[in-house]
Amino acid sequence: MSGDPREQHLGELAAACALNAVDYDERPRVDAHLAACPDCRAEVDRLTETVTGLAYAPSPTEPPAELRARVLAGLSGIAAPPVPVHRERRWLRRPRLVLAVAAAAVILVVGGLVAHERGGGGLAPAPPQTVALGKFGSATVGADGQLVLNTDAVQPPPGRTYEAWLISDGHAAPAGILSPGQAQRIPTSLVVHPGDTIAVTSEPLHGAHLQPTTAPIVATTV
Amino acid sequence: MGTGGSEHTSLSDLGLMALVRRGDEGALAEFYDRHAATAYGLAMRVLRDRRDAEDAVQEAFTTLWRSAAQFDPARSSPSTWLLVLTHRRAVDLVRREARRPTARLEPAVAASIPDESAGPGHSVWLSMLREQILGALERLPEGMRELLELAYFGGYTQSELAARLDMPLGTVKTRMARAVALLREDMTTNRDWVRHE
Repeated sequence: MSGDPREQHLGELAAACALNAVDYDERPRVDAHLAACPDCRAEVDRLTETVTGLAYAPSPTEPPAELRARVLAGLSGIAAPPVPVHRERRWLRRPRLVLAVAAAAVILVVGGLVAHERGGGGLAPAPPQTVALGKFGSATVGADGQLVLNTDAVQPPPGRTYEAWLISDGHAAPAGILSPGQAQRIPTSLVVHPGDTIAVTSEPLHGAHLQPTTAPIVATTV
Repeated sequence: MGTGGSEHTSLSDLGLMALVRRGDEGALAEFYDRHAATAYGLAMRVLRDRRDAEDAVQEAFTTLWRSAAQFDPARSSPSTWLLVLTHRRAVDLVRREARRPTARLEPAVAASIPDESAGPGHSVWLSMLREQILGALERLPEGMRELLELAYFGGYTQSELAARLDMPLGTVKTRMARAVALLREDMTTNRDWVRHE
């Protein structure tokens, strides 16, 4: 191979990259090219998705229980790196979606759908609070702030799924996927603070995202 | 903390990853419960050694936890990312110790998955994936299937494959690219589980 590595597309080598079968002496050129060429990177990503299907071919084998304990025990010593804020906030920076959240929240609050007002203030613990989520049911915020969803049986359109989110300071955390056509109680690990918004969006069935990708169908501020 | 609780079972893999990025250990535990058996099965297939396979799986989950902020859902699904990490680690180990399994995969019969903790729907899903990939492998021309299996499960590089199969390196490169393209075409045609683009 001669010339500037950036100009040499990977061609057949993309498959070898996906299989992790590139020869040692070719790796520097391949790495240099991948760093500079989004097209080849995308091609390797596509082929990697395909090739990784091979991982499902061997019989799945339950690892020993102590491995689970070892993996989880090992996490405490490793700080998860901070999440880049701009990526979490991407959809909220879109004015149309922000307006939609605000509008839906206002409609719900003005419509008197908040079942109980948060009592008291100051340092006294707030009593459990129930918040209506329109046709999707309601959410309960426990005295400790823990969010629990109580969903009604709602059927999403074909190919879509309904997903609940807790939006706090511009960050959306996934709260749960609503099983189609089933009323459920979904406890979450999320803690709600005053001013947070609980929203439900429609997401692709097999491709939910790290954050909402569509405007909320319902959103209510606690 | 430390165990996957019922509060995480309703989340998609991407939902779990979003929480893992925020340092939620319970979300990682749930992700482990869903995918550890596949990752361990893969590591065992490559390494043929329980201890090494456990190490590979542990390192894959640890890397996933440590690098969660870099995870890009536009580039791969969370499960693919985990399996790529597992595969990479297992192949590193097998290359280092020069152990190269050569046996073919078992016939295309989906084994039952012992752990139902992620829900019966999850194991049905995994069985379906397994049948599909085994079917796709069966439909590949014989030489191409062998090439893919030696590369992916044996950890052979292209030059090593050329030497082992007594084939020109250029032929190995062309056949490998063709085999992956055929695999992709087959899996896209015969089902819809290859990630939509």
